[in-house]
Amino acid sequence: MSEQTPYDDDSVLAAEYALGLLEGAEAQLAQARMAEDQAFVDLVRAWEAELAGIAEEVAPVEPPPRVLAALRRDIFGQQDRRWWQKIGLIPSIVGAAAAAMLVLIAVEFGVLDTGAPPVPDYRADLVGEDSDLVVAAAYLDARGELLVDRRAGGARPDRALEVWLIPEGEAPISLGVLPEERQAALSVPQPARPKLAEGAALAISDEPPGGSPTGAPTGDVLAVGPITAM
Amino acid sequence: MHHIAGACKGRGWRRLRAGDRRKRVAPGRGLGLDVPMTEHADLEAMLSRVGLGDRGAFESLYHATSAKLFGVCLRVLKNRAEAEDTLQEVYLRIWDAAVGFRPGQASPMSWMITIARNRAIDRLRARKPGTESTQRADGTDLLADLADDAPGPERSALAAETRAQVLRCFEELPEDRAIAVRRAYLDGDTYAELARHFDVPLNTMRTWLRRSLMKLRDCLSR
Repeated sequence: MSEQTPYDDDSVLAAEYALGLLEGAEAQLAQARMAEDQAFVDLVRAWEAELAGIAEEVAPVEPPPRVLAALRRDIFGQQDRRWWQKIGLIPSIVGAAAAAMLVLIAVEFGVLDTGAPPVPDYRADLVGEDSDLVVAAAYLDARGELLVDRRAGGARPDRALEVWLIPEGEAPISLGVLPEERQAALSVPQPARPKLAEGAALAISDEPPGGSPTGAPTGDVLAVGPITAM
Repeated sequence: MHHIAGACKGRGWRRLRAGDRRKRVAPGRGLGLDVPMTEHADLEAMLSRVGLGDRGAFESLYHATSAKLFGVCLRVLKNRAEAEDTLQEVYLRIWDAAVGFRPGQASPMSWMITIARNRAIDRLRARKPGTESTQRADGTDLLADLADDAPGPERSALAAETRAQVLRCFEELPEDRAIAVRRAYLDGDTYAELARHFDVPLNTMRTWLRRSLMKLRDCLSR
């Protein structure tokens, strides 16, 4: 294994690494550089991008449907079981504009009732992963009311939208089914009120008319968002 | 013309060169994915949505790219059952890694092909008893049309501008050197296997291939 050809520079070593030609100590050394040497990583990535062109000569072959079916089980099945534990990973894309609007909704609701605008304690922006549902929500602790404003999307035909509170590490608690109106005030059950706080999240699932028959979400999760203090 | 600039973004070597000249027309066929180059932007958008956990985008991406990646897995493994398993692993990896995809670094297709090729080669090597082996465990499911590395008449008829730069640079190498690089990429051949295939001493093989890689790099950087 003597070195007959000195490396012109790292680029040839990077090509050998990208092709998987290195063995033994050379492979280990290159592997170590991949962890700490960004210039070397860039060389390897550049080679990978170029070498992928070789695949242009490979004819496409339609895979059998069972591969996608298995992937759905792997990815979506798992996510359906554990979605309320993953919501922290889903970024809010609604942002500050919705917060400002929520204060307006609160004012709207408040003026109707008392003439004095209540200040929401918490808010959440619920956005769909693969649905177009966007719902802004604000919670008034003093009243135990969750004000919701459906800004885009809606229930599927002959289905209902059910709102859930998901306290950190706990199972979802139903807050009720959304009415057809765009805006609504949902009364949060007394025992759930202390749990509507930062660290928890709100979610909306697709359910049969009237809501989940089991007390837990049964359909697709259409939108989720973390609860933040106002 | 924006699609040409978009294609250039994915090119590895010229990105790394200072004063990168981008006059050369980029491959129009998107690495053999039979869609117009403009769909590269779509693929990038799909990948970034997959990175956010968007299932619909994942399915769209799968439908747009799985035939190509399955072709690569089949070509490397020459076994349908193993290629199916590998394809499943590849898309799980894409689902997990999409969040780290940087559009400026690679074209979405070459990024995904690299994942598929590397995963398939890992599988191939796990199957082999050792790197010295020349025998594949089985070729029973080998599809005849996948075994042919030589460009067919249809391929050569493609205008030169539409071919991947690496394939055009292969033409500047002696034919057996280009075959050696292809074998390393698509068959996972080690230096020892290449030396046996070309019936030359191991060190000669290493010298050969390294020189070829230097030439290839120079051509790619041009």
